[in-house]
Amino acid sequence: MAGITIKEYGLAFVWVCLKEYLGRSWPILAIFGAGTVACLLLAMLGRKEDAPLEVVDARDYTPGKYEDAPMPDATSVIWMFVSIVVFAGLTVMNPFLVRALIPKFGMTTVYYRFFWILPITFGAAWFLARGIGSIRKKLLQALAFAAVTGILAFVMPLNPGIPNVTVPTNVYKVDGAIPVLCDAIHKDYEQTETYQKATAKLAGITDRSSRKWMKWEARQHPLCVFPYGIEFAVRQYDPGIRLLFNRNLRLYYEGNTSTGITYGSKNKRYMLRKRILDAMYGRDPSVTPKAFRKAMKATKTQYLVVEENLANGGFLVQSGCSQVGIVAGYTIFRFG
Amino acid sequence: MKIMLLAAAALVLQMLVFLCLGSVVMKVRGEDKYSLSHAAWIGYFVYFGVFEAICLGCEITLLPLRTLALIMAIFMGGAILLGLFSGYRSWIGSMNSLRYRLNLHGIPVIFMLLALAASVVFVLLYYDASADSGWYVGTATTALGTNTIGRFDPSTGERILRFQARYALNCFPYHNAVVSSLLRGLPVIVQARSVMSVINVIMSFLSVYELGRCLFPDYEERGRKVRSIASRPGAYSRKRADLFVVMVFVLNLLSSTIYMPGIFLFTRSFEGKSLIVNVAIPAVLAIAVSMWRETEQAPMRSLFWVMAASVCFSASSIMVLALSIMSILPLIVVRGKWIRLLSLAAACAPVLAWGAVYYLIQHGAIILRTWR
Repeated sequence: MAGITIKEYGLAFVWVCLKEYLGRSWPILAIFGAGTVACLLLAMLGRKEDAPLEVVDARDYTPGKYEDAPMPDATSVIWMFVSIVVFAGLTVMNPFLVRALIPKFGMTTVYYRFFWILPITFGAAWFLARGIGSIRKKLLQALAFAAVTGILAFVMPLNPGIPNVTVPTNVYKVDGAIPVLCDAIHKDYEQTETYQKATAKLAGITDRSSRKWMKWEARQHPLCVFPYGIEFAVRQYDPGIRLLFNRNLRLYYEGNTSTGITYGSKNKRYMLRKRILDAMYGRDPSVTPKAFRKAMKATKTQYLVVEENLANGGFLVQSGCSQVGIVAGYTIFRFG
Repeated sequence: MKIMLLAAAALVLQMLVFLCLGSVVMKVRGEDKYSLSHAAWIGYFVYFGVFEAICLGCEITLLPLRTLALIMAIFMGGAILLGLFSGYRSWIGSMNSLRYRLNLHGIPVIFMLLALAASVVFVLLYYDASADSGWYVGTATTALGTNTIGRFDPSTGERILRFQARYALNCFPYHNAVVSSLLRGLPVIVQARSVMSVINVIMSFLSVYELGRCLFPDYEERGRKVRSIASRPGAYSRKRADLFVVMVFVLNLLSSTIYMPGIFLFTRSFEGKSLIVNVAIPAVLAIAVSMWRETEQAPMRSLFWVMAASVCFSASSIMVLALSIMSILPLIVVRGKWIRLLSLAAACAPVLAWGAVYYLIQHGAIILRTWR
């Protein structure tokens, strides 16, 4: 989880992660906890659950099979829930074990996935369905369902993904600029010597499992830098575009540390790439045309795509880039 | 229009493969009366369990993607033929009793189907450009674009010289590349982000429904005495399971953080992680509940396939293993059925084997090169 580390929180790490995991949806845990405790108390006090009596499937019923079951039905499920919670509490959610082991396995940032093991949502839904289902009259049942749903919607916010839905403009579900940008880059790149050379080399290699083939297969495609807003969608649409930044490098540059990976000023690979992006957007005035050219050559970057209104165009042209064109609100520059 | 038709064909083809595989499994188990949805649900796990084994073999031996696609085409074709041959009587029986079974569901099934339809429409419309989606879909597009399996970095397109344990051992993304390779003209991004998303959401609902059926069995006990039979056998379990699915849907709608299952279901349904939390985990819970209630004859066989499919989905399959142990081991201890430890270990074998290989690769004991 972003920003939550064992180093900072120590033994409280699991609790802080659980709070972050649930956020304002804590009532789901409350329903699960309350239901479990209530059913446990009922079982321990010897009162059998007032389970609905309507049906037993005649075809499935085998005399003697169910009578010998060691525990009443609902109680066996409750015991299963309890065993999962206790087991998890002793192992993967044991603060002492977590503090010692989770960093060693490199799971600090993905620790939240252990909460998936707890049947919080399914348990809560089961208790709610049992409660609503136990009402005999259908009208009252419907009213109870509406009331429960209404209360839950009132106390808990909507799933953050729901408000973000928009009708896609194309069947690929990517920004409409991506297909035209990729086409424009390919069209320009196929005129270059680099492409011709890579294609000729590839034609001469028959062993597709060799390193050499892999090298020229990659070189056959243009190496580009795209704006952050569309970069991660580019290769989903077109694998014929190579990207200078890998996932972690780009996320880190944009200030996202959710991966838990950091790149310091001594990381030459990162610093070279950072220099290019800084220059593209004019973010760092200390980057000189010479330093920019050095970074472009060292990384073999060929194309830069920048939002038309944000492009540091004068600097890029002065540094050896030429404008390929303005497409769908983005300016494409070719280096060299 | 052509792409949309191909997408529809891909949806039908994949669902048919899952249904046929499930029918074969049911036949092998000696079950003749089953619902089509249950068969498709079982077939889904079996398919991805088998796909993982085949794809991993092709990946390590550096075979091209098209060879994998050819092998899978033969496998799918065989599954369809076997499924049709072995299951058509059951299918006809199931279709004939559809109206009767819908009557047993009653009104709650309408709400459940509305919830499913809303989820399907949502995942069809939703799109973003997140880094994780770039990785999952990029893996498939890169595989198809280069006709290789896992030899190029999906986020950059650069060659990789060694397979990375974290990504190379979980082959789910390559299924999308295989389908696009078989249905020429269907872009991988459409298969992955639209077709597979829809299938995964349907499977998630089926998993939750199966869990609901186990949580609300048709018999209800009061202590040691079983209550007698009502006039409409099967109605109680179905109605309550429908209501349970709707309640899970509501809680997923109100899951307010990016870590909870709800966000994975609605916005990341094409990712393997989402399948772990929304398909595999409810399936394991359903199996565990049926074991605690002793209602299923051979639950470990189903658990094995869920485990195998989980390895295919994501490295987070370790969560499925942990849940299986946490939910089933106490039962074995409490009831003293120690012999079940062996079958639990066998069912967990896919994830345990994956874990061992992962560990060996991470620590350099095994080096898997992407070239010869």
